[in-house]
Amino acid sequence: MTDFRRIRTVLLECIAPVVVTLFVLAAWQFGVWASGISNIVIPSPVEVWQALVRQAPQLLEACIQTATAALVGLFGSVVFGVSCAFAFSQSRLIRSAFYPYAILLQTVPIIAIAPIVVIAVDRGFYGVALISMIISIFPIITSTTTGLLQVDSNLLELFQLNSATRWQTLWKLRLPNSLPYLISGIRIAGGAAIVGAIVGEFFVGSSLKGLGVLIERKKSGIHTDELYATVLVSTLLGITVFAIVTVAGEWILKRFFGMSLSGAGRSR
Amino acid sequence: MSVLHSLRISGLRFHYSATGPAVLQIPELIVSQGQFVSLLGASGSGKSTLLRLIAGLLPPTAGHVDAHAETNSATGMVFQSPNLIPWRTARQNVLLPAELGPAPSHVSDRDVAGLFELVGLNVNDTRKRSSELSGGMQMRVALARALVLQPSMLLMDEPFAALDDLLRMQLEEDVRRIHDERSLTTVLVTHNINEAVFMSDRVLVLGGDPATIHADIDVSHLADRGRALRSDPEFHRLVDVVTNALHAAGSTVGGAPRQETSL
Repeated sequence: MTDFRRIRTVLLECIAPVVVTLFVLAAWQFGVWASGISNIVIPSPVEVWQALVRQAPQLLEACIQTATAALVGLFGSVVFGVSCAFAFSQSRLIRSAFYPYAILLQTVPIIAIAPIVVIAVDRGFYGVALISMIISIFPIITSTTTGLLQVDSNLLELFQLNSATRWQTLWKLRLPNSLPYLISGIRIAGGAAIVGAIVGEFFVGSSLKGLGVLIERKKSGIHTDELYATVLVSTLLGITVFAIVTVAGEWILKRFFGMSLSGAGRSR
Repeated sequence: MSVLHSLRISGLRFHYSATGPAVLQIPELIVSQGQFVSLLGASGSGKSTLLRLIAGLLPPTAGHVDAHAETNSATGMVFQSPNLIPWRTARQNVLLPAELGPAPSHVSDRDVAGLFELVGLNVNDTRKRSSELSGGMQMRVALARALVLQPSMLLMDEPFAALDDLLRMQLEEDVRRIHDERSLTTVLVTHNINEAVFMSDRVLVLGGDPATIHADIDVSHLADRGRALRSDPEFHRLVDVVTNALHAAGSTVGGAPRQETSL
């Protein structure tokens, strides 16, 4: 592909979503203005922006609080999830015995178990981080287990032919092979961890100052524009985590492993 | 002077499942040390299965497969695809077999350099990952990897099937040269009759149900395995002989009456 074509493709990929956003905002602004609906019911984009600027220090503090809890939860998910995947990949018995419980973590609605966790563990930061971990661990377990098990059969034969030990096959083949899967799992888990942290904060009361606490407080007030601003920041936080994991993951895979998230190293 | 046997197969029978029919049955096969043997046959004629049995990747249902019957050395294998590990450089891929096994071995830089020269790779290529190498270069790396432990036996499973004709012919000549220089015992699985006759000392034609060796054709008297051989009348005569044997074996694939061979 020529440089001109590449630049045109990148510009198209960046500009097209921005144009859609601007169009939606303009339609929203016009709709609120034309209908005369109260800003307590639906504020206009301009009012949301003004609330965002007005509440910036408070939103920043809440954002940092929620992000910290989510990252601690995500870290726990990665450590515990990879350990589970490691055990699942080594023994069919362990996989059969425990995998249904991993699925249970995904199917139980987090909103239902969040208050139980908060009451049982901690009505504060660690309770929120644990909820974040519970909701984000499943993608890590499934994707890493898949990466550890779905190894090219020819490469396994090559290792078998050279009398590789179980540990050598795991360390030199299965673990590196699972990295793109793990990073894909972290991408999904990152967004889930933010959701988990916000849901957890709904139930911890005012002991924390996270985005969940802020949403809970704003929903019953008359400042709907501030509620919208808080939701917007929550969304941006999720997108930021997704983008950071994607960019960092792609870089690590390409730089150190010659692979990419869309597939392992390809032949020319 | 007695001839050393690198491979001895006796009473071999292989089933994929305990209750299923036999897919391969070889009453006896002896390959002498230093021989280049090609396994030729239609798809499903058991060539790759036989190669995997020789490599020890599949256990025989009955009988014995004794690779290195009178030698004690490693086996190198080249697969249909180069099978390079994408996160390793060419050099690291080549050194992989030396890192594996209960007692990993040391390969000196000099040996590695010699190996790269042998298979026709330059030093700069050795630092590249597989995604940066062409198909032909990847296959050369795979060949170097198969040779790194200085095996006495080289097994190749249709290694050139995906390459273009020019590259394929070049690699055929290179592999035969390496086979001669290193006194290897080589077993090649191929669909290509010209390739089998050009590279081998013996061509074994497989076919039948269960698959067995239908013809064992000696082509060792062919002259120097260089480019000129491809236009040699004797080469073309042998290609015809092997083609006829293949037709005869192919007509029985899946349709031959089951023969009970005394094992």
